[in-house]
Amino acid sequence: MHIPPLTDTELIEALQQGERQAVQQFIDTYKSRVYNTILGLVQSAEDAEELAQDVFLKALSTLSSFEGKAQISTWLYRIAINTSLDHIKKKQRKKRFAFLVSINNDDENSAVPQLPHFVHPEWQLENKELGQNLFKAINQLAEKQKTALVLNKVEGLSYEQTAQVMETTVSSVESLLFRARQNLKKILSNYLEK
Amino acid sequence: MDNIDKLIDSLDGIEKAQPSANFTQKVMQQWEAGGKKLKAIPKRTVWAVAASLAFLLALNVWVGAGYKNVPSQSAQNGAYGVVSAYGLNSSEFSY
Repeated sequence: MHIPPLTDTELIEALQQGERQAVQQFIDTYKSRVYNTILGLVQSAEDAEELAQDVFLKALSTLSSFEGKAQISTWLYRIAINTSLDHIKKKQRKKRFAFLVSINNDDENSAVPQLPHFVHPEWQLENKELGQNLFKAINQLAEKQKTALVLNKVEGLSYEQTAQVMETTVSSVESLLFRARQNLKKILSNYLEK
Repeated sequence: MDNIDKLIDSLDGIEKAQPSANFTQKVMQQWEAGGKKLKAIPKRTVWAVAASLAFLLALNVWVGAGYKNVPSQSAQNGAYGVVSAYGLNSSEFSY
């Protein structure tokens, strides 16, 4: 017998009661949105998988703090973004430390390892190198511009939804996206000239 | 610049990336285990803890050995005990 999926309110109630089936539905419904958002921000499939698991565990352990003012998806996107940005900051600190160690050490083997070039797994254009350059450029954007761009372009959220997730106004999202595009043009024109 | 605009806009039609096939199962297992991620403890952490314990043990032995050299008389007889235990003449001191 086919059981219809629970509505958001029913799902939250069932989750708060710790129902196994509800947890499964919760993960199945939102896993690709959470994973795709994280992947766009951290640009590593391995890290995105780990972080997406963390996001669901965090969400399940803090269900009591969910007030129902926002949609479940909005709440999950916020946890996913915060988790990703924290991860990026940690990684940058590690990278800076590794760089300091490497400049104090002449050994060639101790050089800072460079991340492999990332391109989104669903990138359809034939020219993968262009895709790599685009994601490399996205990675250089300021935190808020990058978040707005990933939510709007990679995740396909509307301006309104992006504004809700980022807890800001639609006009501010528009401005972030405009500046992101201008900056991407600057960065990419340098790459394409090379 | 038009090409760059087109490149940026090509993100619009991108399909959603999917996590691994057993993603739900993995999260369910961790949730059932109390929300704790089952991660192996890094070797570096194990060595750091072992080294710290060894250092504390060595420090404990060293400090303990130092206490053995304190004459027991001092504990029994107070200041006078210390003076006499070190072979000093008490008449040299005025109280």
